[in-house]
Amino acid sequence: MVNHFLPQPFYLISLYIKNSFKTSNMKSKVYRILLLFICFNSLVFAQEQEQKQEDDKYYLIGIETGFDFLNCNPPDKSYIRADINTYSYNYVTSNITALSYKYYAGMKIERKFLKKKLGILSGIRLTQNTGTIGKTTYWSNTSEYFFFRIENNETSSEYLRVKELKEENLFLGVPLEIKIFPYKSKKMNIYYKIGVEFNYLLKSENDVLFYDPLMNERKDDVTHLLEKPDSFTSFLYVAAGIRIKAGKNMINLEGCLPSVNLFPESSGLVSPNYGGGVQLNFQLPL
Amino acid sequence: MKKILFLLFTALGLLSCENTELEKSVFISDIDYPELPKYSEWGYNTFGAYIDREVFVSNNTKIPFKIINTNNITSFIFHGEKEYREMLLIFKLSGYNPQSSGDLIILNDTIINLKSPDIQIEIIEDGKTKECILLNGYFHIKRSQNLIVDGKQTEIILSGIFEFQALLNGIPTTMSDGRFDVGIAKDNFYSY
Repeated sequence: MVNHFLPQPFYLISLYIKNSFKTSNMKSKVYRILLLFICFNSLVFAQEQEQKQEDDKYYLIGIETGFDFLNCNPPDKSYIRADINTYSYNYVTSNITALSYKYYAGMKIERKFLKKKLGILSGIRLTQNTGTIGKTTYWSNTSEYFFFRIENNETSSEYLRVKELKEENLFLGVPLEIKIFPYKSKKMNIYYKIGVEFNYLLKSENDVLFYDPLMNERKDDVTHLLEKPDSFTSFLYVAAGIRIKAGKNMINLEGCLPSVNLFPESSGLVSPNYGGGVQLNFQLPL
Repeated sequence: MKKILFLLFTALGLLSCENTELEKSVFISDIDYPELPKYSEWGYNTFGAYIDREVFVSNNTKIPFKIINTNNITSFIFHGEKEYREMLLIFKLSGYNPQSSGDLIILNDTIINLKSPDIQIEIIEDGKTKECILLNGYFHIKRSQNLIVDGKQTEIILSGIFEFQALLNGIPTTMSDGRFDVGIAKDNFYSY
């Protein structure tokens, strides 16, 4: 007899009972059935206790990573010569598009409340925020250029042809989040999240891509004219996610929309307003 | 030989791209007068003015500004449109003879009294010249500057304002809130 379904001890007991059925009398058969029933209930009870112990774990610790793409106001800079779309005069040309994106990694602790329908999270997060002027897409370089005014005195102005201005900022931040699990907990569960993050600037760097590589020696002349970001930034965001239980562990995949910059004017080279992104995190019970 | 030709054509191509970008008209509306371009000193190749209540303004099809020096007269020619009809406004200055666009730099912060006998104004609308008798007005070149791009002198930018009152074909007419911001290089400067 092959065991497909039962735990080993219970299987052995049932095998003993089955074999003994062949030779025993009625009273003995009743006792053996009763024994089988008790063993079955003990097994179920033990499994329930183990599950309860798991459910009683209110703290989770996890690591996260994710990225956001952010919409920016068209740059209005005193050092950039304006340009317009030849075919649509009401629109600024794509040569002077502002883009912003960020990616981050961190660690968070989650505390559950209200029979685990509510979770409060906080932790620490490292964020790299990149802003560009001149690129038209996030993934490809541009062949177009705009005019950057590097000098302006009474009788002359000097422009440099620039393909891209870039700013990279590194922030250390603290996220504060509330998760809501409105549905009954299952192996896969949907949740909603609202959060805010407070970031402190650790490092900021600027870079310039010139149309004429011979102008690379003028990089410092350009970068010293660029705005510097404030030391603090903050984002508010809303997300929806799926939690998948993998044994004791949790894998969460979230879509974040929108992510709103609470202080867009403090951002430096570009002014990101809002955007969206994706986050993946892994959690373990503490 | 092929490499030399290739490099030569590439250099010419790059230069022409640069000139094309600077030659474009960039119309940025004035906040107070949205039909007119705002006053600027970037060489946006735009101009505009009110003729009574009508708008005379540069467009994207005509070269907005030319300077012609011949026979001891220098003409500043604004070529645009008024109510979708082609129009030219020409300021003719006697006794001033720039030989190249670079000579225009001395016009920095120059106010020309349009009542001066050295000045004439001509208006051509839809191909027809209007008789123009000036009553008063001024033409102020607020700034004349060299434009250097990637280390090379490229053009002269003239930026300024103007207004006047005149009898046009006997009708009193006011040209007001005039402003211009134009670039002058070899292709729109003529001296012969």
